[in-house]
Amino acid sequence: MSEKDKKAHTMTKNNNHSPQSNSNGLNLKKIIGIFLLAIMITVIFVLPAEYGVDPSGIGSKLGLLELTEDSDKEANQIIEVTLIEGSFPVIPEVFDSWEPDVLGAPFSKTNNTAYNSNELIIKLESGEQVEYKALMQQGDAIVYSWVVDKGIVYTDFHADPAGNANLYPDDYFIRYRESETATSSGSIVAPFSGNHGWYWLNIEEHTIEITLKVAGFYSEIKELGRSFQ
Amino acid sequence: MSNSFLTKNQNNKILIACIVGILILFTNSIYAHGIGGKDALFLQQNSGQAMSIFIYLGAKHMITGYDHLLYLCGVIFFLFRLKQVAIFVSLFALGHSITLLAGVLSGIQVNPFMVDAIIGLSVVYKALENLNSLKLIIKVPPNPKIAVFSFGLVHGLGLATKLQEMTLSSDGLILNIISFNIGVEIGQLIALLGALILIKVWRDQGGFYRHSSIFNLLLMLFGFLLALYQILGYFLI
Repeated sequence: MSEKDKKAHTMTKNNNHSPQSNSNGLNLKKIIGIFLLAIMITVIFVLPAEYGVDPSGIGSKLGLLELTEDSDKEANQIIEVTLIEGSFPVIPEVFDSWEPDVLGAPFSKTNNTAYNSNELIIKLESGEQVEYKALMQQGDAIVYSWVVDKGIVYTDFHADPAGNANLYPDDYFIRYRESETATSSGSIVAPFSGNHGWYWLNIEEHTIEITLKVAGFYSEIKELGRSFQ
Repeated sequence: MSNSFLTKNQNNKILIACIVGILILFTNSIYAHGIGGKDALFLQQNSGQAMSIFIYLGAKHMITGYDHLLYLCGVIFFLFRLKQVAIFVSLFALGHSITLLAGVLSGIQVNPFMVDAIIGLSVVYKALENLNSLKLIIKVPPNPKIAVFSFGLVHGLGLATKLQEMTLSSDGLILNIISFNIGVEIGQLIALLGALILIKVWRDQGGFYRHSSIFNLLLMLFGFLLALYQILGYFLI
């Protein structure tokens, strides 16, 4: 064993054994100093670059703020969603009853199949959450009504792009309505193809039953996940 | 070496602290997450078992995850014998494998920012240990082996949150976790090899002891930076 190795071996032992005298002169003040240095670096550089917050103003001078702005821009560029367009025609002064205006999307749409309808009873224990969603094509419509037997329920009525999710940011979804109510009725026209439906969370102390009636153009409605909050 | 692992009472403090911390994170996740928990319901359709993918992802996460790398560098910094390296790294691997498996299998979502913040602090802790300055903060510093195992548990929780972001398919879940875990160990060995070679070169060059405190002070700084970065993320995102 060389002299160097011997020294190394003793060092290892010492290091893993009882604490011995502190030879490097480190004290609490120095540790706090390092901590303050870390805070300074965080405020000046990390905050603007990572989170787009720039309390010192140095981040914008160095152009660090652009890092977060750029990623937002990029995310918006990739997505090309076809929006349904259409406006109500101008009312003419003279009307020819043989040639009325023809209104297509979004006011009307002809489908190849008969409409679907379902009536579902969804039981939720206290604190339980579930999602029911209808798979729809862009421009198709549904009407719905749901009611809770006893009490209210937290609802996030929303849609996600399902099979086209790769075109959108992670976990992308749009919201139709968020509510804490005992009942809700309405209609939607799907802004994009995907899953359209309800996230329900039972915020009551007791078990509830939601009766959901849906009718319209969708291929299927199904439960997508059930768990406890 | 010391055979006092898990025998001395005062040495178990850090282990108990880590376990209590993990429990707080678990219970916290139930309240703190609130409605955000529904994100878990946007199930990603992951078609069952994909061993090679998860092995790759595990290895990649370890090699590109500077938090784990910094901690490992701290751990092996003063270990001169391969046997020592093997013991410490195995304890670390045992710790993180336990919580990785338990975390994903139980399906409990821990706040990733908080775990990563604690991982940052584990780097600070290791740097202080290497600088022999732990007693400035803790009266009776714990056995380094218990510390490395305990922080392994925390790092495993961090790994679990990363894996939970990738997959939620119950089809072949266990195989996927184990694949990810294997990947993590492969990545860790690769990173370790690189770090060992670099430290060996440094030792042979000389000046290792003179500069070792600067290295560990830097390690502490990076640890603090990681922790602050994650804590801010918790409040800002």
